[in-house]
Amino acid sequence: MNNYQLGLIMNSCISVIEVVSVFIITSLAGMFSLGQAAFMTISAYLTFVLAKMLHLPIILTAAIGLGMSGLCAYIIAVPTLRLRKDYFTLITMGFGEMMASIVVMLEKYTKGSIGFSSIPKVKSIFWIIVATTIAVIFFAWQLKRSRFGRMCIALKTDETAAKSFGIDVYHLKIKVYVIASCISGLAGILYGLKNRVITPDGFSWNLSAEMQIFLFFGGTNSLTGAVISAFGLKLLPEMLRNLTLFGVNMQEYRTVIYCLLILLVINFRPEGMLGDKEMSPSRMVRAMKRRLKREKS
Amino acid sequence: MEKCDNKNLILSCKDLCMNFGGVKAVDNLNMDVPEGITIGIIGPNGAGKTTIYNVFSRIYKQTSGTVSFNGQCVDAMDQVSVARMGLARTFQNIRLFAGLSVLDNVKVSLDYAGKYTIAEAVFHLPRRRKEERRIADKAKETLKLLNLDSYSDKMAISLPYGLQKMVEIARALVTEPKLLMLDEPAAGLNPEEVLQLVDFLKEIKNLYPGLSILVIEHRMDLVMNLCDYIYVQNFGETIAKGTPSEIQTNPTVLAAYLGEEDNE
Repeated sequence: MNNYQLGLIMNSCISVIEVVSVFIITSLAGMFSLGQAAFMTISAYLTFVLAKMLHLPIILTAAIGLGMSGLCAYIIAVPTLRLRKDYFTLITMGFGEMMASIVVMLEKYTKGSIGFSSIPKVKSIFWIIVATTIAVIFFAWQLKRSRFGRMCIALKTDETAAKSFGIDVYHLKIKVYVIASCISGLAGILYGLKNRVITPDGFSWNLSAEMQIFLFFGGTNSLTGAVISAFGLKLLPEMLRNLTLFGVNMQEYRTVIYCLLILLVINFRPEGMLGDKEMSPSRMVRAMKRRLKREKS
Repeated sequence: MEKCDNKNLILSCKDLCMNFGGVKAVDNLNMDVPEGITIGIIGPNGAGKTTIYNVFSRIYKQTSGTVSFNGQCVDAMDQVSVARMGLARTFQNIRLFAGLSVLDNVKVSLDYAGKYTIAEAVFHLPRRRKEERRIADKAKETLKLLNLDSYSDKMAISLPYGLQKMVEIARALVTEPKLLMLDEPAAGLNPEEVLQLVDFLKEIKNLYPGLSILVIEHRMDLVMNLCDYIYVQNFGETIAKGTPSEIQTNPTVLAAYLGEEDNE
């Protein structure tokens, strides 16, 4: 594979990590965040700016960046998760815009809108990204199947009923939001390492919305669907780059294509492509066995 | 504080009032629920029956009066803490968790007390495996006890209505609560399903002798069949209380139910 193709796979992997973080927030805990890109901003900028200014190894500053993402998520979650769901969405959206402005304001350190490009080159970045993606999917899968996953799905369906079974809805939501925001932060750092330049525009509101679109396309309750659609939909515009429409490259219509897709999905498959179906190795083995049995009899 | 230390009483409330603006949904309710007893609350629509439940389970905070549960004053507690103390309830309209199977719905009741952290969950560590097995065993055991184990893997909300009601009760029972509050368990069931439900509840009374049950119900056959003691509510007030046979012959109750008063 050439570098271009590797780059595409890396982009898709990063997109998968982003969507997994949104999956945890929206599909498990039923919160709707429109500002996950903000945590990518926080982590990425802290990691690379600190690494350059203080000459620290990236692995250390990345930990600081992720920690800061988690802390910011906690600070947002504590007051807003006491309010109704829509306020939470509004606040996260505002927070996203705020982060983009802060980056521009702190031009002295972040190089503002031009973008921060003093990012060191990392060896075998491809494998790092692929491995991280697999690990993140594994964590999310385990989370969904654990007692926390069950409690989250319960509180998503019905908070009052969940509380009457002893589930501490408020604190569980905070925990989940902090974890998911750290995952978003991780995606931000990988994005920086891969592209070697980060700009506030790269982490704009569009990106947060894009994550939600990918999630809803793949299936609102299916991690498998979310992963597949995040990977595929990120690749889709690249596939269309050789086509032109009205004299403009099809790639430019990316947002239009996504919006059309989401309109179609909402109309015809409101639960997303996979609904709540999951694909797991054990289930596939079981299905195979069943098929074998049927063929025998 | 009032006498909050009566050992045999699972739940008791004194002079309980709950007002919504000018509406007195619950007016001076005094109720004692001893251990192992089934108590029915009956009354016409709007008599404040569900409000009583919502106060007991701390969804609402009462306007005045005290509630004690299991010998402890719960006035300052929230929904989550009384639930953890052993107060389980079902809801008027079914509130099973969509997206979870029957087994998982039952497991959810046990989950708050699961002994592993999120970190142990995501890394799939031994303690998680052990705890998950314990939770699954307990849930399966309860489903088997209540003869619902054949539906374990089905999605809860895809079951017929009558079965959903039973799963909801199973979900409430799996933590072995001290008090089970049923809110119109027979609503929306056909006569055959009601009979099944009565048998099901009788079975539960046998299986869990120490369990106290509160039932809100409109179906007289169910209430008369099941309850040891009955409170009759009308416009927030208790207009009668007594054993089923006493209630059946009580003139005030008949008046409230048949509308023999001068209105209408």
